[in-house]
Amino acid sequence: MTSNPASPDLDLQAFLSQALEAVRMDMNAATVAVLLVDESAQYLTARAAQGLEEEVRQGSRVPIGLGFAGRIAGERRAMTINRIDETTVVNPILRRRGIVALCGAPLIFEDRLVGVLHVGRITGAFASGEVSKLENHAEDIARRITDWRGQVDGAAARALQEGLTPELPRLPQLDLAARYVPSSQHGVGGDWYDVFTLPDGSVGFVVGDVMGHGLAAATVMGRVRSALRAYAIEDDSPASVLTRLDRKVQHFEFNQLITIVYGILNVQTGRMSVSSAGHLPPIMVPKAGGSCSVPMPTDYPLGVRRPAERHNTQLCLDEGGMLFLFTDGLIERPDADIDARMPDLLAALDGAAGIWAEIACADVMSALLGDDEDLDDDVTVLAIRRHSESSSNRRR
Amino acid sequence: MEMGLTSDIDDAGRPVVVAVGSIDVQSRDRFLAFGASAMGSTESTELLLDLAGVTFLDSLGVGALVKLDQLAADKQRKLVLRNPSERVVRLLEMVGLDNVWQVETS
Repeated sequence: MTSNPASPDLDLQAFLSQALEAVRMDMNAATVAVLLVDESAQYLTARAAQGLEEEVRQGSRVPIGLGFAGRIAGERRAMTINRIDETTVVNPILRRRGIVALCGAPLIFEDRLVGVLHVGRITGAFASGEVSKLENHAEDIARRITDWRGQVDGAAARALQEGLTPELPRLPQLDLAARYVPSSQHGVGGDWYDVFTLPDGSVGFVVGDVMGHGLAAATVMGRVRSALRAYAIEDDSPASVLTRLDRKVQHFEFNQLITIVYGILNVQTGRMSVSSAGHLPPIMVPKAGGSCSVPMPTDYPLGVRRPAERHNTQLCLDEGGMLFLFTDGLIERPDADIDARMPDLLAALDGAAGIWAEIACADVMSALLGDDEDLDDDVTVLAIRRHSESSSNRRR
Repeated sequence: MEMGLTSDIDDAGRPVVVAVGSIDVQSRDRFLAFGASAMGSTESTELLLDLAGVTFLDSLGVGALVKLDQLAADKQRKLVLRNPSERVVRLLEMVGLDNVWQVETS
């Protein structure tokens, strides 16, 4: 990221108007326009233009594959036409403007189609040699727009993550702590944690991971997180909440893959019911040490289109004991198995047995993320410790 | 590690994708695109993934398998895993996906 992230939008507008002016002069053209691929990847929307300002003002949209710009995008190649009518050009603005020749090139950066750049003339045709000149401009513009998109996505996703970071409930029986760390390579992603009290006084806890990075993963995460809360207040079986959530994900979040551990804890007795949808099992950290992964079935992740039988596992969180939940980013490293650093994690947790959840989290983060290697994935941890009777009495 | 991808058609007329090496953050997009195009290459309702040579699979690699499965379902096709290495089987178990796909050994 090279430019000022505080105003990426102004930044892009300024860049585009300069770049378009340069393209217009260089190509000796009357009009120049940039159209960008929209979210659905089915349309191009006019984003900046000179000599065709009304295109942008009217929010012109062209289906990919149709018309001049649409075909350039669909076939991913530069094109020149020296005959303008309704068979070659969909956009009436182009036809009304009196353009007699158009030359356009796809905006492609690292194999991804970003949009289309085209220039038009009111007199004279485009020579075949001029196409490569336009392609050079297209390459520069595509790089810059990709850069800008990365900034906008990153800023929006960060805001979303920050807005959704829940405040942990304050309960006399529990000591809670959590961390969320974005990936150093991709920024925020689809990880989340959540802890909430339920109508009967028990506590629901969640750690989940929407596969993918950036704004797309973060927005899905936001929806899934609130849907889970909605099902949770009506249903006291974690497996059944995840079944309903899976149905919602498969219907509304097409082709997403999400792993979750969801559990319900009775804060009086320490009894828990936990269900895992493709997620790494939580770790039980007894007061005296001897941490181990909870032996429990791992059911299908959400979004796998198969009828999934989901299971609840009954556990007990003893006084002074801690349950530790995390996402794979904590223990997965490039070129090593998903659970490569599991032994390090267990050792760190043993070192923190019987002490405050906040300290346990800090110790774990320092033991596993303390070195300066780059983080490929975002990392989420949640520690739930049950006070011993004596200490909770003291707190009251 | 690099990933090698080749495709073939077996005696039953099913497209086969042979993956060798790592299916991970670096190779997942290529793996997906390759699998999707192999799927469209015949009328067969199955796509065989030969995973005997897959030495490494990370969580994004697992995600790529599920994505490919979703693409296959969209086209009324299903994936069949051929000779998955022990490592692949263990990783699929870890994320609860060990019973999703039919497995063939030869």
